[in-house]
Amino acid sequence: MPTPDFSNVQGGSSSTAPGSENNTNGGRTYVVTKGDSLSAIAQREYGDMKEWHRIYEANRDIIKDPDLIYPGQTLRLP
Amino acid sequence: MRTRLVPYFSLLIAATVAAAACGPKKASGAGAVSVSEIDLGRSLKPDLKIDESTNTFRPVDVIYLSVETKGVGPVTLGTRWTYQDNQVVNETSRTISPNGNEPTYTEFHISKPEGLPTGKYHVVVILNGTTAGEKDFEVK
Repeated sequence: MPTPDFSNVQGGSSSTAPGSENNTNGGRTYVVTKGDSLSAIAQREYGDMKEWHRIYEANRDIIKDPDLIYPGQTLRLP
Repeated sequence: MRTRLVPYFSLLIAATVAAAACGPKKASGAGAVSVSEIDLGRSLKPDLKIDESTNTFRPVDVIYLSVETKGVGPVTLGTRWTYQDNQVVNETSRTISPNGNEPTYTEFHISKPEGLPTGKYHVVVILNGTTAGEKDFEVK
């Protein structure tokens, strides 16, 4: 059975909370959880851990050291 | 004897202060944000609560997840939707800054123009990087 394609899934959110701000900006995002690394995220999202640098380059504004990412960070997935 | 009154009096004051310090403390306002309830359904009420809860959907449905939170923000609240063997369907997050006066509701939703594949799905609610709730549902 072929793997389904979810690339055109439309997602979104809204909130009654004050100061609410959507972090997704139309593209895919990933919220870092405990134990994550860029290479692990690249393996999960792209099937190749060597692609970690793509995530790093897309998030240079919030990642100062590619070996240090923190739970709760929302990363853009290029 | 009078010279002993001073130490006894001092001890009494110290004991009174210590007892007061051990008593119930006044609330210093609402605490950190926590997820108090999550719910799935096909439509939302205007206050972003689920109109009618269900765990079974049709491929053409828009699937809504409503998250009730309590406490004072700001926090990052997100969802990760997966299909069958953990294939990622969608991830969405937003920053919210509830003021703690009343519960707040944040909805997340997914849909697919040609319909979601049938099968079992799982959605995890993530609060500041930590799992705060999860639900299973099925599309058939």
